[in-house]
Amino acid sequence: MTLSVIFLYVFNQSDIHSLAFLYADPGSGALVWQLLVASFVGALFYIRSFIRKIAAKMSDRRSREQSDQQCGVDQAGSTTSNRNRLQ
Amino acid sequence: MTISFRDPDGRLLVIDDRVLRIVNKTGATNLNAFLASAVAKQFVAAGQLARTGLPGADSVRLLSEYLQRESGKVEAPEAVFEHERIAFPSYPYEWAPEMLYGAGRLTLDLAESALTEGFGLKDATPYNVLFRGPKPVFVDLLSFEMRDPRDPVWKPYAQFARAFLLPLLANKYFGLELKQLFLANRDGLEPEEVYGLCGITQKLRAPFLTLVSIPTWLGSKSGKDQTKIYRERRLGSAGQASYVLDLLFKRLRRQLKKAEPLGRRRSEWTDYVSFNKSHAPDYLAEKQAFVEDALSEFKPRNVLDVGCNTGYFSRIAARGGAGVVAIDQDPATVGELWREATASGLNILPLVLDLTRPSPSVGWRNGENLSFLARAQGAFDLVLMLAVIHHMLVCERVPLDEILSLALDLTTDLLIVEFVAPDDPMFQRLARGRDHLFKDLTNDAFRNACLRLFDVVLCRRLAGAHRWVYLLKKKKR
Repeated sequence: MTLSVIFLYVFNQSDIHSLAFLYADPGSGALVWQLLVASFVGALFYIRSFIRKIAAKMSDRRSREQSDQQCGVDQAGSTTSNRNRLQ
Repeated sequence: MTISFRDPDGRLLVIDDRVLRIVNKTGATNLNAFLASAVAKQFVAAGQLARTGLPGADSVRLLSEYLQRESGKVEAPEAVFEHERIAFPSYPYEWAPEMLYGAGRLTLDLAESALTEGFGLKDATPYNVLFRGPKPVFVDLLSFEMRDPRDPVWKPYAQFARAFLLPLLANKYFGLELKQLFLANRDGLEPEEVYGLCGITQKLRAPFLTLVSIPTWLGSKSGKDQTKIYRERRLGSAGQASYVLDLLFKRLRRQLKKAEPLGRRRSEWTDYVSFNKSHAPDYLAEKQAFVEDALSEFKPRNVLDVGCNTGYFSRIAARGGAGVVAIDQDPATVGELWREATASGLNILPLVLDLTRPSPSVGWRNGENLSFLARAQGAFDLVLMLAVIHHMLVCERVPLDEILSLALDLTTDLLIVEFVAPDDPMFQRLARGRDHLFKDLTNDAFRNACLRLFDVVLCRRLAGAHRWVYLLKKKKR
């Protein structure tokens, strides 16, 4: 029961047909273990790409802030006037 | 004669030394697509995948004649491919563990490379690999098929574990010989079979935990929902699936490495030649000169070295340009010889074989994997039997005439045989007091026995020893 719950979360089960082109014995225990590990690793992949997206957004924001500061410093005199305009 | 028949997409035949594969439409599509891929070309160029192409006109004719004889009617098969012929086929029960390891490494390399181009391996059995000299060559081209990139399951995983990892582990940790294992079981070892051999703490440690214990515990859950696990599965993206498979192959390589046989294993035979080198250098030098002269005069193409031990004389033959098959019954020496041949690139195929009890024909109808003697028929033009027949005479009690008759069958032309007289210390060590059985075994008696079947080309008594070496030629019938 718990196994099928795990599989459901990670695997897309819309293509349901037997292992059509297989003729070597896939084992039973070994196959279950492979599927468990695959679902765990698959979930890991989601988490990893999620973390990467966040990290990308953060570095994006940081580089944007840095380039804003650069703009402010370059136009030396006009920083205060910019700020006044924003207000 | 049909060599392989388990794959539903085709079968393999060997007719008159030509290796032909008849495939159906699916098989042809997969095979053509794979042969056109970069990975296939790369591995063929490296000599690790059997060269394959369309059959020549002769082969087509031979095939249709064969099919007509077999089925009684003229039929044109869907598609036919011809493979290069590997000189001497051998099977996992004849390999040293190092060779099974090498075959496993090649299987993983191919499987992983093929995945990058969208091809998968249908099965992972050591019967997919033959050896060209010491180099493993993958020959079952029909094992490759196109696969869905979102499939995160490597189907042959369990078979790879059964046929490569578990036998290597059982050999390394429990001393199980590959010969016993693979002659008894075509598919290798099930995790459950190894489970009983492991100690309690061993069961919980790598590599046994993931390869043996966990599959055993998970497999025994006999529920009514067992068939659900065999469904096809797909992940959300190809990137995700390839990430899963990437990690799987990294794990498999680590496990294979853990199962790698230790080098430099010692047995009573590994130091045999170096003992001779230090105690009787003249004897060895004379024997070497005799063999070298014979090789350079007759230039044999295919040599069988019986009782090759460390391969001292196999190397001499291989350096002279011959293809050598070297047999010995000790797996440690065969393994060591394989490592050296791989490192030096010499054309030597070492096999674990006792000529007095050679591999039988096994498998379906005892015709799937032919016996060693059947494969050796007509395959060698020179056979070396140096310092070996006294083992057969004393330990196995095979009569001299029988030994010489077998040698006659094994060679198409020449035989170099060393006669060790009963007064030789090594002979006495083997006889263990049974000297009375061999009182009539003199050099003259030996010579007469040879003359019944061969012509003596050359004979020399080796310095300071009760040993004679003969160069014999098959009598012209």
